[in-house]
Amino acid sequence: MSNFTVAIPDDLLTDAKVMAAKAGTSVNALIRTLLDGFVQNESSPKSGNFEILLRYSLGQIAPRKAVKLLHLEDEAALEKITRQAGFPIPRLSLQETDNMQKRFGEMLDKASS
Amino acid sequence: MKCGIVIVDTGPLKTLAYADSLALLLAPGIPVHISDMVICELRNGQQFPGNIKALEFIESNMNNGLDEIETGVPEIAEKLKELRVDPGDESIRRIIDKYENDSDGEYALLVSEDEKFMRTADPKGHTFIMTTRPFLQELEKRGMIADAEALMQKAEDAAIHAGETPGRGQLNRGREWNTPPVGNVLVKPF
Repeated sequence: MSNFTVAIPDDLLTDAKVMAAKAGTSVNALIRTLLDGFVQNESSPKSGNFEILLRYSLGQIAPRKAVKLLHLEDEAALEKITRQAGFPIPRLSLQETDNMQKRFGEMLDKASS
Repeated sequence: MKCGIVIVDTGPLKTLAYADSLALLLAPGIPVHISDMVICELRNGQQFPGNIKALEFIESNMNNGLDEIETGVPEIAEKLKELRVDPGDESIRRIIDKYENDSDGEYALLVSEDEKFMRTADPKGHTFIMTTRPFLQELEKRGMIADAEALMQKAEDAAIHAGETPGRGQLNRGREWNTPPVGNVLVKPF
């Protein structure tokens, strides 16, 4: 087994230590488990759902598309299983916020002209 | 062009309150309208310092660059809840209708932190939607503030310190999430 150094924010490491202690394990074991799960899911031909949720969480695919791909009823169900899979719910994409900012800027310009 | 900023949920006010930057709402120099439902929701959550700050800001600037939009929803909120209609959603729907049908040519920029609303809202020709982040980013671009992201971070930190639970990293309207079903075959455990 190899040693591997990884930089983790202090707060996250503290929380991870607490969670690991509560689960009766170590941060090392926790990271190994998470990494193992990630690699196995990614390398499995049945990992489509995981990949879709990951891409949704990263803001790479729109919620409506993820709902369709996963054959879910609605976005609420998508958010539930995204949380269940351990992923954060995505914020609006950079493109969406950029478009909002651009439109706001145009409105301000027109309002002042 | 005649246009105004319309605050349609408490999120933007709370975010700016926790960032000690509520005055930025008036910085663009266009009228700011606040929904009566938003004021009602702020009053109902006065255990949070952000709500109190926002209410004080509204009170001290009322009719001075800022005014209230009456939707009539707070008066029927309880009845709507019985009908399983979210009063906040209903007030937004009425505001969009107002601007589309009776706006007198005025355009409205609806500001919300409810990202689900952002994705599902159906703004038409006279209404646009935006969250607090791009609002601040544009102010940064125009040199009105130094760092939009720093303000967002300050708001989030202050909100957590005050006992708020920012949803999706932002201060949106409270939403409850049911516990995900155990053993859902759709998802492989991480």
